Amino acid sequence: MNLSRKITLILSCLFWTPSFQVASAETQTVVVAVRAIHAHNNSKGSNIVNTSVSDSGFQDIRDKLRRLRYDSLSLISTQERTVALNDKDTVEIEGGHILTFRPVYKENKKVCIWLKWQDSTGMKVLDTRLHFDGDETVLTGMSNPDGSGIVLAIDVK
Amino acid sequence: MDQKNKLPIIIERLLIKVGDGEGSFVERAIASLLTSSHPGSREFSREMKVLGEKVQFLNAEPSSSKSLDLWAKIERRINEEERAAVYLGRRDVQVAAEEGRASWIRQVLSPALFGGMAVGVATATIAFFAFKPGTPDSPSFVSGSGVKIASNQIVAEQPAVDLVSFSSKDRNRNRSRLDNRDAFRNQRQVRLLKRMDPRIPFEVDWMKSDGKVSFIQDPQEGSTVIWVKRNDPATTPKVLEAEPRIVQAPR
Repeated sequence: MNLSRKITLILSCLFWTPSFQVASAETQTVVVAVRAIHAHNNSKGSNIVNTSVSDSGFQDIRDKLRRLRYDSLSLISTQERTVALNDKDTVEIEGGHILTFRPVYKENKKVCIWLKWQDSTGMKVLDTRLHFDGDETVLTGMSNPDGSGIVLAIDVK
Repeated sequence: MDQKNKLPIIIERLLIKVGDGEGSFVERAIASLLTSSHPGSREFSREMKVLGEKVQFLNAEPSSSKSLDLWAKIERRINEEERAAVYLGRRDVQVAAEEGRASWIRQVLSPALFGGMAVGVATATIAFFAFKPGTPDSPSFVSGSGVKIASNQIVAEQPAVDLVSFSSKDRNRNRSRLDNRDAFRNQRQVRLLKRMDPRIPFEVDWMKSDGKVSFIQDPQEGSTVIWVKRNDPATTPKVLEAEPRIVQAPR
């Protein structure tokens, strides 16, 4: 068997591997919604249960944010991006935050997404890959030295 | 052989070559013809033959004597070793280990093993791209050194999160690892397998952060917030200096 035939055979085997089949089949898109929420305290010693919500854009996750020790939450922005699986996209959030994400798969309500959150200084706030149910909202946040915080609520639909 | 009967140099070389058994069929035929028909050649061949026998005898004599001396030395050395072993114990043989090291180096450097390793790397590369990572059923990794577990709030806290993993299957083993968290504190990477707490609604393959990461959990809501604290407040800029602008969610 000469060299060209060997190369042809190897390439043929490679094209029949699952990776190529998966790559050709992955044209599915998902909608990634990122909500940025500013959290702050109006007064010291406030009761976290009485969290006031100044916008109705995150009523669905209000109760989930109760454990955060902030008494005031306000929606900064909401952005939605339609992304193909394994494609990368970036969302810029007020305050210089940059969230880069890449949905890896969505199968049987199970979702996998890679998230990379950087603040305005370039600090790597979070770099992770998560698996979760598609019905769940990924909540992540960061506290600031002044006592305030920012929360990102990420949904993959 | 006197000067008068001296043979041409080419004839002498031919006869020497045939006498040493190195001549071809034609050379042997010519030499045979010369020795049978030419007395000078016959005399030269005879002298060469006698001289060759003397040389063989001289070469054989010292080698046999040397051989005998060597065996005697070997036998004497063996006897000394056996006597010394009685008083000093048996000598450790390091030759095998040295040979092992040498053979190990030879194996590493051998083309066959190098080729095998190359094939292995190629196979691993193909497997890496061939199989989709992070499927729901695949094992996953999460991160964290210095993990803390509280009753209903902070589930895990880790400075500068590295590598962690969760697994409900290995939960008990992870608990013991969490108890020994001090041992992991200085490790750059900590590997706990799979899900750390069944209440956490997600699995983490890996998690990295320049800050301190906590999992703030609300069991009633079944929610977990990944919370990051900055490590160095002195270098932290104010992220939200302006009044937060309220943006309505898309309808």
